[in-house]
Amino acid sequence: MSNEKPFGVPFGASAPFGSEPVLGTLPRFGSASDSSFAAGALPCVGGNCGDAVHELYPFLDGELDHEHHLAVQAHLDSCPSCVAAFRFEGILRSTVRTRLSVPVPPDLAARIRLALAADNPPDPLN
Amino acid sequence: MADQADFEVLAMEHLPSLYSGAYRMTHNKSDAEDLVQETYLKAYRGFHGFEAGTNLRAWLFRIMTNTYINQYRRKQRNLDEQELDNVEDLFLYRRIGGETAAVLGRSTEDQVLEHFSEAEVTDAVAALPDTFRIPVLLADVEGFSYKEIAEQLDIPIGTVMSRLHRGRKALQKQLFEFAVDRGLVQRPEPPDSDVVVLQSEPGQDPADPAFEPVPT
Repeated sequence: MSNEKPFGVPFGASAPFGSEPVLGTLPRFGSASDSSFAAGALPCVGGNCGDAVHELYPFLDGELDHEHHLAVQAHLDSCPSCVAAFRFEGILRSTVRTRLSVPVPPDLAARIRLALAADNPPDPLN
Repeated sequence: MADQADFEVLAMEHLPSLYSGAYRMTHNKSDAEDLVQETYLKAYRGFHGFEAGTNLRAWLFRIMTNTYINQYRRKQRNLDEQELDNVEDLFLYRRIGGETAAVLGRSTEDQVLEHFSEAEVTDAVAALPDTFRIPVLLADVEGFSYKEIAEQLDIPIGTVMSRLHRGRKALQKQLFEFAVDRGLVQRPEPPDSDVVVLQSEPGQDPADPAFEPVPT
């Protein structure tokens, strides 16, 4: 086995955090979070963390009402573990979206325009 | 009421989004092109029913999604829908990041995500049953709201939320399988172990005969 790092990239390389608009209200994953995280805080089990995780998807989707959104945000402001978990979910989503981007075949627009031109909609006066 | 003469100008700008969406639904270039073309024809013929000032892209997606469901929907089911209920919250995060990564000095577990290829993400999405795959695509890739997805699929908002929740977790489970296949993580020991360790160098794993404790 080689000494290569399993992931093959320098760990200083940063993920494209900030390109994800729904995460705009999340605090950055700063040094305080890093130290708490490295200390082995188990992320997001039970209690307030459980409540926040329960709302994770609607929160990231921007679908929580104002009151619930503020409640989750307040928890995140005080919980680096949940910030890390929420941030991961947000980056996962943008990773999926980026990987699934497909270029349009160059002639498709022209073919659709031809098909539309050849399609005779019923005469509304008829 | 919308003027049909405006259709081409207004609708063609959404072609990249529609084609991408069609390809993700059909996983086939030829089917995707047919699906998009048919969507445009149906939309053109029905454009008088489009309410000007509302979201045209959502309206086009509604037509396309329904066309897909009625005509192209895949017979194959790669995942047992029962399995979708056996995935806990933060499934992937707990396995490729968090404490394990931090202990091993790999605190930026997000970077593992960069290693998923287009093919792997595509295959992971493709493995989801349509019932869950379509809402996940509409929400996470197309960015539609719960309300818009509910209208496009003609299901209640609560059902949209439930399918998104289960579909997203199932997608994480699929991605985890790829991470295991790639050797990024090891599969947990059956039956109940939650412990997953990132692959370590020889001699650093306590289970390895060559293990030697690192002096501190």
